[in-house]
Amino acid sequence: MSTETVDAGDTATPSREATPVVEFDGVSKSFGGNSVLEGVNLAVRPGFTGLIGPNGAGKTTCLNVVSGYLRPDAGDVRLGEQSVIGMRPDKVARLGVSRTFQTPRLIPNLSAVENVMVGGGRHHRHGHVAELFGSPAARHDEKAQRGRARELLGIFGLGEHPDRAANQFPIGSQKIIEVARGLLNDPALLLLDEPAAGLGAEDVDRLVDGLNGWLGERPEAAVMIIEHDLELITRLCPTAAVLHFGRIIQNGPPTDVLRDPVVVEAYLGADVAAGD
Amino acid sequence: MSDSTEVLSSTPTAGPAGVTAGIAANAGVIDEAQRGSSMRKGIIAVVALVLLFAVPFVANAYLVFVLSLTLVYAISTVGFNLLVGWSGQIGLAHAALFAIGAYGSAVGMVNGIPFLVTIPLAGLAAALLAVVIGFPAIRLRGFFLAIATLALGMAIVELLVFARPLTGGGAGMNVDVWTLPGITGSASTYFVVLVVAALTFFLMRRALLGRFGRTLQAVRDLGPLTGSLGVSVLRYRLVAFGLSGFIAAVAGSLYAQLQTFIFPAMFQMNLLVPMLVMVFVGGAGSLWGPLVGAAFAVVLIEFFQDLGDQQAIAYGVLLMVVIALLPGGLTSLFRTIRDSRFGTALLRRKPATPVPGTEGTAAAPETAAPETAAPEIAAKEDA
Repeated sequence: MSTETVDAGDTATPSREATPVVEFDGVSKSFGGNSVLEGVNLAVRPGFTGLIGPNGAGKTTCLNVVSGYLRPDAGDVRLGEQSVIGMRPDKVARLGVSRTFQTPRLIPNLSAVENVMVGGGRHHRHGHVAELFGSPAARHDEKAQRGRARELLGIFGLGEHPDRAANQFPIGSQKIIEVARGLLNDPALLLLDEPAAGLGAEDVDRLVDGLNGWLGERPEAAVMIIEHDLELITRLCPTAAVLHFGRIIQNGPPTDVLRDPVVVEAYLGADVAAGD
Repeated sequence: MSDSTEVLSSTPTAGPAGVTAGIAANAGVIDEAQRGSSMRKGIIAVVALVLLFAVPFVANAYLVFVLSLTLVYAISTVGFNLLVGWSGQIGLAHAALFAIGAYGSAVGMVNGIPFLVTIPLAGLAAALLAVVIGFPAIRLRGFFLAIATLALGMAIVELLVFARPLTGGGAGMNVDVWTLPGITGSASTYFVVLVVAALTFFLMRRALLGRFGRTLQAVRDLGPLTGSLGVSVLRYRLVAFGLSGFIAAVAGSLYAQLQTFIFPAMFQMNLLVPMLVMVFVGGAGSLWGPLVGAAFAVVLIEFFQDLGDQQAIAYGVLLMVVIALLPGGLTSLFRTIRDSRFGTALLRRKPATPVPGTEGTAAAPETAAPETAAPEIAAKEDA
């Protein structure tokens, strides 16, 4: 179950043998004859998993396939036992998949804490009518979510100004607020698309500390990170998969993976400076 | 609420106190503060309502009429603003749905249904129609959405002409005026309008400040990406259509009482354009903007009366000027003044402090424009 899902021959086995949270099974996708994913096989287990590769390798396409935004031409993506193929993004999210985007997408004039609260859709048990007429249970839920949203901002070191409008935060903090928003759903799988791009060293530390803190409380959750900052990948992820021209060419501990000649070739060939 | 001019201003925060450790305690403080200010706001609202209820006893009939008209437009604009400002959909069937309310109520009364019952009935009929219009419309964006809904709206108004046996066709129909015992018809209408307006503003404010409003704004600002938060984008867009249709028709039924005579030509572009002016002058996506916009428009209608057919040109020019110069509407202007140095001195409030390090690095201001969403999804690959 652990290594045969990876099509590169000599991969190091991930340290943990837990059941995968999400499995890609021969996923292929092409856009108008331009093949982007060519039979991707990958099992993502609890904890951090890096997804790296040169520009245009198909990393974001992978995330779009899992989160329901793209339907693959072939293959299957399973969350636990359930296939997400053909499911709408909001249904997938309600199964416990959260994601962020390369450029942060917040509601600019809502406060940080309310932006995080927007991410709590999975936990709402009351309709808008109950909320409108102020049913005690609905009010209790709203309060609980507000509290949890503040807490999440706190674990990322942004607890100081929870009521400040999102567009008044620097871009790095906005990206972190977006991560906190993704966590309010208590996802089983968190997908981060270049979370550290545009972040200063201090922001990166906040991000890492916050993610570590969160995952410490939920050891069964998986976090899949697309990132060009290979130092961050090495720091966070026990395993990293390398995507190149739509195929997983390596999968294993980042330090080993990055020393692999095939990976070095892929990166240098694509003219990407590794580990900036 | 949704304007680019707010980037430099700041919402007052609970102060510099809360460091990470003190979040829980801080949360309590803020809740307490909010409760205090909402109490004050509630008292102001009640006092204003009482004063407004006294108006017909002290003022002349003309003032009562103008106030009624302002409130009717304000109700209608709450619905239009919900669709355009909060859900980010430029749906242009609002005047037609308003007409459905006016005709629905008038025709219902002719057939023996009591006026107060026709209000929600007309609302439900229009909500249903708005959902039918919305079903294809929620899949369209921007220009295409505007054109499609405009065409459907015009078709609906044309249908009123064809339904001659019911509506009197293009020649129009008289409206039975509902009267409370002991007072005049116009005062009766005024009281109903006031109650409906108060209810509309109260309920809408509650809904928009809570999860419903947050989710609508997410749908507006994040577009399809809202799906990744577990929110069905299309469902919220459709609900916005239905609700705005309901409110439009409620306002329309009251409008018929005010006008006492209605004809289809009242509900064409000559109404739609002022309706848009009300939304944008008041401030798209604001809470009290509809009231401000409606008051502004009513004054303007009186002012432009002599222009005759050229009124439409005047409105068009005005709309362009407001959108270009004051994208947040008049409510944003009030806020800018309040948060300026002069305003703070005047109100003796603590000046808003900027977040350290935001100057220059803050994200580009985003307006309420819905088309800013929908980026890296779809066909685009890793940048």
